[in-house]
Amino acid sequence: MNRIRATVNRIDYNGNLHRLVLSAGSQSFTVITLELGDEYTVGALVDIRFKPAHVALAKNITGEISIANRLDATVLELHKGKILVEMLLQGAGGKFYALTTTEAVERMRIVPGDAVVALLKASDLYLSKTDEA
Amino acid sequence: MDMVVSLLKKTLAGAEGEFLLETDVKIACGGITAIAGTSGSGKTTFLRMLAGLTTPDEGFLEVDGEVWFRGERGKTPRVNLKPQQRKVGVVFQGYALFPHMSVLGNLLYASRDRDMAEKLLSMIGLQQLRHVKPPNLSGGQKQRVALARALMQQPRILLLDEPLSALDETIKALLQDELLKVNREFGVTILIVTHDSSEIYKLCDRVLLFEKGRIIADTSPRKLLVEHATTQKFAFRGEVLELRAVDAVHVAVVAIGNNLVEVVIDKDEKENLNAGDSVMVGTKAFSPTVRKFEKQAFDVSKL
Repeated sequence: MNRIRATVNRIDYNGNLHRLVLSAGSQSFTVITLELGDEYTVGALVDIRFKPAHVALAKNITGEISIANRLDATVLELHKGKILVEMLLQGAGGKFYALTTTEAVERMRIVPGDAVVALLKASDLYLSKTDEA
Repeated sequence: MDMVVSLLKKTLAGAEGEFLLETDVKIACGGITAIAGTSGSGKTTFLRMLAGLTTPDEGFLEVDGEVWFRGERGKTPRVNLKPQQRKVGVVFQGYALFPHMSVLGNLLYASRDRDMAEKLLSMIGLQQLRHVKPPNLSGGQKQRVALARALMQQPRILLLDEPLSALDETIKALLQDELLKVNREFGVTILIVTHDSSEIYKLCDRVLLFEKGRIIADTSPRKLLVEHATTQKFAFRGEVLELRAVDAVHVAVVAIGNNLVEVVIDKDEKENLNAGDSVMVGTKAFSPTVRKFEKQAFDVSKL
């Protein structure tokens, strides 16, 4: 499970639906979630967490896309299976894994050192409290 | 308005020696409060002290503005109403019905109020069974009769000690609906000892969590039961049965209650896990789908 430490910058809500804007280094994140515990306040340090399978990758992306989170990242490692590839990426907010199909990696000719954009839907991210202050 | 003001103490003998049961709690009129906690934590004794079936060592109990108990340790209590003087209805897990009396007879034994008996029979769906005797009733039906009988004297509080724990899920759900109806229509304040988290969530507006004689949490079911470590809303406790490597990923087989689920996990997660570990399986509230369950379909939970 990917974990990126981030600071909560803004919280909007409508009923029990919340939208949070966070930052990790120079990277901004948007997270959509239902009810939010009292400990998630503006200024709080939290972990943004997401499954590697929820990360989509793009190269040379142009045009409009609705996905809220775009992370500029560099490919560090590829662990290839016959069907899936687990990829380790370095973004501005930290390292994270992406899981994608081997077919996509070959089609996009992704190799270590490549610059890619990782795309993450705001509703696929969740938050957990960090133990460190 | 406070219905119950309890400040009762009693020394109990537990598996690890004596401990003091201390209940400093106020319960508002009309709600349903869950009494939860491990066995031997004093839950049942608390209910028995409220009902007058067990005498506290010391303390104070006021219900609906009337003092039911007042006493000091080592002395004869100054006030200690007998169970029949207390306006409480009690239903325990065992049914305790008179086997030789009909359903109606059992109700009328508690109070001769025939109108009340008719009202309860129709409300709890027992009209057809009014002349049947308890040995010919199912577990769910017996527990309904016990509930109706507990309501015959129009108690101000209803004390339920795991009343539904021996029943199957379908009957349990029906009786939970009936308890909600009873709570609404009679305005009776209910205290229920239960271990069932869905029951706590469905029925109760408050949970008192007992541990070794003390109330260690007094909160709402939502706060107690909904996963809080993360913002994930769809989270269940389970046990890892097996970990497998498949292609570039790993799969954990996890038992959640009677169900098995497979979860794709990554290397980090896999490295921290072993078969037999207790885990929390979770996903965001956005991810699960909800489908109507076809009743005819094979139901694993019935095995």
